Amino acid sequence: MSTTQVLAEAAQVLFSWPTIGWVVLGILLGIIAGALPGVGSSMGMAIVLPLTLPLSPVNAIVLLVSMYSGAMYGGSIAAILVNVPGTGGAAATTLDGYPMSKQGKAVQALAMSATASATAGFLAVLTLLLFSPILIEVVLMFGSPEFFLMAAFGLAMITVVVQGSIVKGLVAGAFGLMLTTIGIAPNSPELRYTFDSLALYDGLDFIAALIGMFAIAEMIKLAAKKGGIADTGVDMSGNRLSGVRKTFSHPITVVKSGYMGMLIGAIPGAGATVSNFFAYGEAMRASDDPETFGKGNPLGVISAEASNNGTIGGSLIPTLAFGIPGSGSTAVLLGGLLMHGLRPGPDLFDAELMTTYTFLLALLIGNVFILLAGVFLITRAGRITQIDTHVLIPAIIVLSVVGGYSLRTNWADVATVLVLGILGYIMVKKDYSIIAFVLGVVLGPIAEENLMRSLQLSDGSYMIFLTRPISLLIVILIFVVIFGPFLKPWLSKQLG
Amino acid sequence: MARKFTMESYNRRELLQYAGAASVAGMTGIAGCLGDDNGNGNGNGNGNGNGGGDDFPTDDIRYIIPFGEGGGTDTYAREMVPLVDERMDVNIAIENISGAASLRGTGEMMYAEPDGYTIAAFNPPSTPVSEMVNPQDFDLENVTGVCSYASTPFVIVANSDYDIDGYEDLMSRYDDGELENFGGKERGGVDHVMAILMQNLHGFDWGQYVGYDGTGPAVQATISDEIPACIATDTGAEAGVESGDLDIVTGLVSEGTEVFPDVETVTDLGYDNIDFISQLQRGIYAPPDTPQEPLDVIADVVEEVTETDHMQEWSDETGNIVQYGTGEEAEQAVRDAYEIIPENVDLEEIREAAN
Repeated sequence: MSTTQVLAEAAQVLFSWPTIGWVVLGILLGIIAGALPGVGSSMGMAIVLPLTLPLSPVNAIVLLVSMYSGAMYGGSIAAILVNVPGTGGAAATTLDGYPMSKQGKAVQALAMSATASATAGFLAVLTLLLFSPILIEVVLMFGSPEFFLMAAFGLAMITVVVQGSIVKGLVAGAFGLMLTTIGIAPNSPELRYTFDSLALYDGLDFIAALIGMFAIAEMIKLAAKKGGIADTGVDMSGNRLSGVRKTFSHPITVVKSGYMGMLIGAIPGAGATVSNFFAYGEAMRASDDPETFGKGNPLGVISAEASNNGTIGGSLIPTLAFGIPGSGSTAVLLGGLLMHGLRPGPDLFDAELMTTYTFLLALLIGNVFILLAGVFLITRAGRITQIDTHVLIPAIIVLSVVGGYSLRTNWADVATVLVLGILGYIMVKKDYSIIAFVLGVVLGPIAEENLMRSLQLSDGSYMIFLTRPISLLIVILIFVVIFGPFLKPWLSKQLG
Repeated sequence: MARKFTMESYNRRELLQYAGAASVAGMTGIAGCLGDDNGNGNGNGNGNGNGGGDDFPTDDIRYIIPFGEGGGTDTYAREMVPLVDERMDVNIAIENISGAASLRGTGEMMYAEPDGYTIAAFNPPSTPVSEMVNPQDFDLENVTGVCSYASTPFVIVANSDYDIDGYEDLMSRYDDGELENFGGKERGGVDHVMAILMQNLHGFDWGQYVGYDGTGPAVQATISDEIPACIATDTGAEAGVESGDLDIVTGLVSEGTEVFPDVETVTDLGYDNIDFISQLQRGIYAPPDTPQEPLDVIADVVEEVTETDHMQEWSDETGNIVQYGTGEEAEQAVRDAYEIIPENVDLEEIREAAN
């Protein structure tokens, strides 16, 4: 079957009931999760993931990616209305979004955010769709040595994504990595730290770890706060149509920010949290009046929001192609793919191409729903940010525990959710990077399995990582990532 | 499409002769097991379920699938169970207890009350091999067979760039040193044990066994030439062979496979029969010492279901073979694994095969 035929068939699946319903539900759930500061896309998706078990793989993934997309937009709602970013990816949106709110242009800012998010999200996913036949060629060039090195590259990125103490970041990453040593070793029947319990034979479930880290830890943090998540009242004024028009009058900012988001998203470890500041900075640099940024300049909102939805298309590349997630949300999405028997790699672009196209199309179409929701439901958006924590916390804790159990009907997973939830809270409090932990816990098994297999292939020689062109390239990249900060001053001194 | 599973097509004595010929020590094991076979065989297999089955079942039946949702065993269960449900007065509740190479769910069944209300699906020799490599407190050898409902044969495929012409050509290329690595699923699993058996019984002298996380990735690695050849299930290799990326080298089951009916099998070439390990015998099992009557009731319904148009059509559409076998045959598959594998493979070596 030709690619176009598969695409046509995927479109047919997408527009049939109930798949299209899952797109709408996913976008709405995502917007709500994104708009709730402290919830956000990773947690929202982590809670919903185990509940997708009864769904068919296509519908489950469609629901998850739609939530991902919806949450990226939803994050801007709290950022604009109450100056608290709903997701890390909307942090830069607060800089000009909240001042716009205070100037009585809240609705205009929300409409701009919806339009920029939807347009950039659409473009990035469309680009991914068009380039997917090339992507598969690249994926096929990757063997076990390259997979190991990609995982090592993702781990090296910890040194870049960690804000604050590098040592704490490395400790968090190493902790995640060490947890993955529990269970049967990937390349031999050796048991490690199972304490004779069958429940630990397969190690800890990384999805349970993510639920604990994202959901329980945040809820404990929230429990320390009084009343609603955002205490301030919101003022819903401004003109929505002028917001849409304003966005379309700056096509270059939208396109540029969107693609910047896509590029940064494609790097493992660097997600929307990084890209929205990059795009914001670039919009400011290119502007004639950079001093108006931070005081309610619409371009600030447009650039940040275009970039975070652009990130989605990019972050799917390493997730789908190599099973290496670029962010917390894609780590959860990876869990969803594996749980429903979809293995990242060539299969997703070959035997499972229809499924892949269906959820890429779902993302594409989802942007239309974001635009519609953003423009028509906007006046109600403020209410989401006012939900009382007395309702939210118990609901999320119950869903997390039930979700943890339903992953593998294994009580070890419930224990993982709760223990790592408490540990996660302490880590957040003490500034240990959660994303570094996530990279460790997700990439650990990929790194170990492929390292051992590469050495089986080479009969124990480490040269296998240097003699192949792609592996050599990744080794150089890892070297640059780790030693770049030391080399840069030395280089500029030599040159200057 | 579907084959009927009969004793003619699976002649145990013939198979044991082949395997036994490879090791004198094996012969003693066989003598003992033939005795067992005769003793048990009389009580089983008629299965019309009229005797004590009148009051069974009165309660829901727990059907444990020791694998995750969406896997092969789960797919069969979800297709068959609704039909079994319709024919019984009680519900059959599927419970996925996955993990630990199927030992968690299997253990849950082994420790359940032997009353016919807890049964489990597993696929010898795969679960027995996992148990032999990581011995458990339960005695899987004494499990009670309910019936078997399908079998999945293994084959060897090679990257088509090597133009390998059959099993003997493959072996000579490894002998010459032209080829070195050989692969399949994880080390310590069925494929690995099978590869070692082929080394010991057929003189197939591969250098390094490279383990992958499932048949799919092993086939993919063969297509991308990370390894030149691998063990795969016939259905798992089908797409690669059709596209021309892979050549089918040989069938490992003496009967051949439905997917590749023309391919020469190892026994066609005169090599030892390894049927006890070269196909997954998908079976349903009950805890040791479960009385026969309730199991006959279940087996009869499963037999009826495997013959329905619905299951046959599903089999034709998906390529998943559906074929009924008796409880005795299901038990035999487990016992064969426990008797023949340790005779021919050094399990300690596999346990230590970390690198």
